[in-house]
Amino acid sequence: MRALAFKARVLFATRFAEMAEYRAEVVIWMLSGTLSLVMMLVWMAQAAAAPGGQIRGYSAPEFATYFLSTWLVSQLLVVWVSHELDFQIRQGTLSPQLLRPVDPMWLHVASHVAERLVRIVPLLVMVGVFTWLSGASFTREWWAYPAALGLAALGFSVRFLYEYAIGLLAFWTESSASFQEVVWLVYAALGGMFAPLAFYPEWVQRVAVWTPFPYMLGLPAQLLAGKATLAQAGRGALVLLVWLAVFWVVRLIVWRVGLRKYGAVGA
Amino acid sequence: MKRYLRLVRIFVGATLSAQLEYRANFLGAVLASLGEVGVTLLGLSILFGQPGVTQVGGWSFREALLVTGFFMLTEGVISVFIQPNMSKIAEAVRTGNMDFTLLKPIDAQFNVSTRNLNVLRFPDLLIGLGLIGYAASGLDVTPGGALAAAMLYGSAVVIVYCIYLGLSTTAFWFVKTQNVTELFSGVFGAARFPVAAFPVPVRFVLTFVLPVAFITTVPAQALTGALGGGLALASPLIAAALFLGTRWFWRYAVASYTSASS
Amino acid sequence: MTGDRGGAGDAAVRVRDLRKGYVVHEKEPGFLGSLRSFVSRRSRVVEAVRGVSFDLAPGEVVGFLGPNGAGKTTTLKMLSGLLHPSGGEVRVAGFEPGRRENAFLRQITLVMGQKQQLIWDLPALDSFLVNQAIYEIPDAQFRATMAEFTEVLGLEGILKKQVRKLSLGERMKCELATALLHRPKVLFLDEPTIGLDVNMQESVRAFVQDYNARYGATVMLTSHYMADVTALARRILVIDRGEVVFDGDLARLAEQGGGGKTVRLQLRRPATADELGRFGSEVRVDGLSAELTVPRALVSERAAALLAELDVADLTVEDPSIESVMASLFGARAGQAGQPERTPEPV
Repeated sequence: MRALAFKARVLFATRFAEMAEYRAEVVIWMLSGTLSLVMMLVWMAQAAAAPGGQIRGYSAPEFATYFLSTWLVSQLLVVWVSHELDFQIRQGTLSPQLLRPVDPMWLHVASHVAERLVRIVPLLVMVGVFTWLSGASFTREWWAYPAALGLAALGFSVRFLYEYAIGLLAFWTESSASFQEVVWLVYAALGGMFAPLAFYPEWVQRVAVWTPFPYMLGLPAQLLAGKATLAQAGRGALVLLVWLAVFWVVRLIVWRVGLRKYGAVGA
Repeated sequence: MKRYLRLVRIFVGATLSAQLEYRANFLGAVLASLGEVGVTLLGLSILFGQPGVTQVGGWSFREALLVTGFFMLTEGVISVFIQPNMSKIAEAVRTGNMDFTLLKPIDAQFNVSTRNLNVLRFPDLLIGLGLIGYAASGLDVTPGGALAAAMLYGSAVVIVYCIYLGLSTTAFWFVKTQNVTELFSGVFGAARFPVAAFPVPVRFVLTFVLPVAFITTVPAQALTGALGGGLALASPLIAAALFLGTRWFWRYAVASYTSASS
Repeated sequence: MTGDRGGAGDAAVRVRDLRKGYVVHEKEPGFLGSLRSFVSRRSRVVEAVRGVSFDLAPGEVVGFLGPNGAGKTTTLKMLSGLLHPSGGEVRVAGFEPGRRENAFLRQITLVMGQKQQLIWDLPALDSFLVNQAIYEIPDAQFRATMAEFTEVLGLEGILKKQVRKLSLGERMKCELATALLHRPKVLFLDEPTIGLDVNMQESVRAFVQDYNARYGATVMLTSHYMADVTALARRILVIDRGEVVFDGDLARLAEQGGGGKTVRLQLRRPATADELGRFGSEVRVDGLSAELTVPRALVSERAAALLAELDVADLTVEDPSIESVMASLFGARAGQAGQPERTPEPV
């Protein structure tokens, strides 16, 4: 057990060192995820121009809070493992990793966690600035924050696993990048990046609740905006746990099958 | 001049051949294009789908659709012509392949900008044009308006190219940073909507600080007939200024790479 | 030491007091090091080339040798215009390389052993056609050059295969062909045979020799393999730590270097290392064969003594290998690792 902890520590420290070298890139990546911010501005203008200064119970500052929350949560949910896997598999650099007595997935996990830590400070700074600029105001209920964080952590794990599985598609196809793009679009749509889920047509909402997306993105955002209850958070957590189990198994299967193919063709 | 045209033909031929080697990619790319347009339309329709909403920032649905069409078209232009080249710059600097480019007796900026092509994203261009055509069919578009739109879009493409080139040129210094152009993608996301859909201070930023308005809103305005003379003139001027500016910056970067003293 | 050849006005390459310095950043290993590096960077200046001077006559083939990090690649990059010198003067084919005029670029070529310019996913021939367009090579000349290269390099059958499916040797041959397609007058070859097997190395050498003979091109060649140099070059420039430490004939290098000659013996009756140790140093015995090093001046004397006192069937005297010459030239520095790889930022 101690050996495992030691390995994890060294792994993490090197990944952190790597990520720290990429500090400029981290900031750039953060600034490129602006869909939430764009939608925020558009909806704010809409609300300001609407009769009563609100649309479906959201005033301009409330839209600001909601979309800033989706921005914040989406920043915590960032996963790039599918691109990396796609690259590694196609370049053949996966092979050396297979020689080590540790599932390569853990290396990727370590990278992501390390990157998140590098990201935290600039992230909070930016959120502060945007909050001040837009007039948003986050909820005062203390429990919303750990609840949102917990949901985000679960959401990140679910996302990591399905993105990993998508990346593994590179064992079979050159198009895993296109597929990843489509999945991202669905995630953004059903996660509530374009508007709070309640704004969508009925049928879209009914479909959405069967996917993990609203619970990993929209729900934590609503919690931070003060528009969701603890009970809802609890239910959301349960749903995400189920999805976590599902994708854990999916990933494992795809990995095993893929490795067999990879080995057959020649690593 | 004729020589450079011939070179473009050769480059296109070479990259087309290389890409056709990967046939399976095509289906995936079409999927991604359709997904992109689906989601963009979703955003727009939710906005208009709210009870009592017929206008966003003074633009009707059809008019706003024009802007979305130009947005898709521009995404297509970037994916097909611009991005495949610009992404190679950072890579070339890192691997040292930029040396080979600099050893060739043709202008390096030309080489770097036209060398590659991504045919697979061609559907994006068609989708964009299709959207523009569909939206315009429901509006009164004059031939003069169409011509103005085409020319203004031409200068819009130049603006986009210059911004991309300017950002990619920083790779000569920030060798590891391969995603600087993502900054542009981030800001460009605002071009999905007409500039008037944004709060007033933001409109100012999107017009005078980051020329996003000139890329999609201005050409669309030429088609809706709402175009002001000021913006119409400003567009080609900005394009020309940016072109000269990024040309200078490129040459400065190459001189720095080869450590030519100033 | 640095030869100042007469007729410098006709020199294909003319270098005077060339200098180059780099700024290099350093990072301490470990977690704390990363944090520190996050906040402030440490840098220092590395003098890669410190005042190098030489001339190359047209058609001359020169071997450019030195340990890793000595400044060979930096010098070649300055000669091809990829780097601007920090000081000094350089002229290649009458041009100032740093200005990268198109007329200059058409006259030269730089082949970098580990890097490639061929398009990965296409047959090599397609890359050739791209270069034909870039260098504006007339069709007739293009075909003639292709025919010639195909014959000398043995390119039949590989031109239409995708580059990524070629073996390393085949790829290198195509790289060479594409680099020389425009018939440059000045060739800079940076480790052209690195990683190739013996046969391929010989093909490359034969090709360069043929090209030099046919077109009278000036060739400057760096290599780790002495065989490249002994096969192609008559003149050697040795650079160490940014300075030229030798410029002259291959033979003179052997002379100046190791102070001894190698004596090889075939014995009829075996002798022990101790017995042989009386006649020379670095004795090696293998059954009836033996080898020892004898000071140059005493060769005749010792050889006669060996023949008289031992039962010798055959005796030969040879120059020491170039490797050992280089090793003794660089003395204690031999065997030390060169500068580690970093991405330097030129000043």
